[in-house]
Amino acid sequence: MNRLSLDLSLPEGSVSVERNGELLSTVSWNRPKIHAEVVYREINRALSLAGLSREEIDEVVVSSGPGSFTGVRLSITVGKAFKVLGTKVLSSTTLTALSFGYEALGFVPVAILPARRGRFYAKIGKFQGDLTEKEIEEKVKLLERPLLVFKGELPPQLTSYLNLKELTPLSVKLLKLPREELSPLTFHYIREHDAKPPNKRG
Amino acid sequence: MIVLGVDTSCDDTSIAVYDASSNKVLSNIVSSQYEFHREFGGVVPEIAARKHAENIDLVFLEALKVAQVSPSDLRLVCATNRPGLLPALLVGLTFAKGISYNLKVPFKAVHHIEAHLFSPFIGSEPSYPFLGLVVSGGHTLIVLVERLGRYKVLGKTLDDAVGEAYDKVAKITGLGYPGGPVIDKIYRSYDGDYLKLPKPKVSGLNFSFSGIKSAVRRLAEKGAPTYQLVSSFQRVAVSYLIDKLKEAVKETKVKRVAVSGGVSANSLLREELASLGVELYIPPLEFTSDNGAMVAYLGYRKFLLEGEDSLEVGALARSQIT
Repeated sequence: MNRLSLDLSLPEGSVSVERNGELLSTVSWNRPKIHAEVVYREINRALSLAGLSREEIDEVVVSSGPGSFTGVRLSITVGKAFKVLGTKVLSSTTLTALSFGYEALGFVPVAILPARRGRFYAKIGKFQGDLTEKEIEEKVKLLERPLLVFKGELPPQLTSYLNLKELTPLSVKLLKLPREELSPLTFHYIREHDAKPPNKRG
Repeated sequence: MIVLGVDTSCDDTSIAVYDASSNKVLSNIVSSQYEFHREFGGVVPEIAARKHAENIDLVFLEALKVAQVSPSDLRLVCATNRPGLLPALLVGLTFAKGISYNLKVPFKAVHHIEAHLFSPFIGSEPSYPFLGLVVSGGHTLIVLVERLGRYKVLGKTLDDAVGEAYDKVAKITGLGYPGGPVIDKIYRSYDGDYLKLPKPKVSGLNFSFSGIKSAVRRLAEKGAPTYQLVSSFQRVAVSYLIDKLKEAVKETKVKRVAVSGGVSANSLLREELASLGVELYIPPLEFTSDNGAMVAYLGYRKFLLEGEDSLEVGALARSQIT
């Protein structure tokens, strides 16, 4: 089975292609403002490096946030453009993909992504939400063998915990997720209230 | 040639299927978001973009179903990429590029105002030159169209667009959002005297609506009856548009006029335009507000003129028509 994965939710955009579980190609770029412009070129590049054509892709996996609101929409929208033409498309949250793989090594992974305004998207156990640095620490200190897995910068208050800056592009991690971690296309903005004008957020 | 047209420049998710060979719109699906923006009295860009992203696949499938075509029938994909609300534009543009990419058919990016300009001619071919008056929630301008791709902007609003003024007047008077249809309906039922509202004095063919809006606000604060107030507003706003259009006709000696945009659905404006004594083109009501049909219609013609666009084309919040 040939699968293509895509993440545009994070500043680093990436596309990966695998065949029967073997990673064939990955392309990534670190300019969030050009995600919408380069995404199809990069999909093409990833396919070309993998030696596959678009028609040979059986399944697409995209990230569904949280991350940049625009990036989340772009990931899902690209997925929808495949889905309406008959390709199976699934999604996973960025935090699920980010934290995957470390539990098997005996850690309790805590996935952390920057969320602006002094807050962070975090996955701690089954909880996924946006927290302050202090709120994350309060939860982390209750864990045994926590491993903080992050992209971007780790909040300073948390650097005393065992941590790992994830360098693997998220699209690669999306492909590693077991099927039970994947869901139909859906959005995970998390900060729903931020969609409203500042004076209407209540 | 079957053409797909996509527009998500503001708060309508619209996709149309257009048969360029017969010059017929086979479907034009519009998913409106009014109810989601109503409590804010105007369009909230982030909410608009989220609703576009939620609905775009459903609107696409419905457009194909109504047109009775399959994806493999599509030969050209067109989408609005400028100007508009950036997060909203990106959804339609990215989706349309994905359809183009997956089907391996050409893609054409379309200028939203240019698409409006040509919307009165959907189903026919324009004769040149013509004067285009675009009146909507985001734009108010008069353009001399010498031919496809050659335009001279003769005048534009210096502040609010006329549709925006309608929305703000409706908000001031508690009539909700959008303002255009409700004010027009009230105007039709109102048969009393009119209040005196100032007609802005802006030289040339430019427009200004902020003065009228402020006058409405002052009168509302003084307790002017709502029906009288909004009916007076409509009378002066439409009269102002007509005055400018007459001036443009006089200045250019072009007597072929095409009026488009959401406000072109206004019944008083249509009446007044009909008595102008020009060769008049107004789109049917379904093509007055934002729609995919005008994007497909213009995109096809621009594709013939200029060829396809790269899938790396971006979206622009602001873009002058040139």
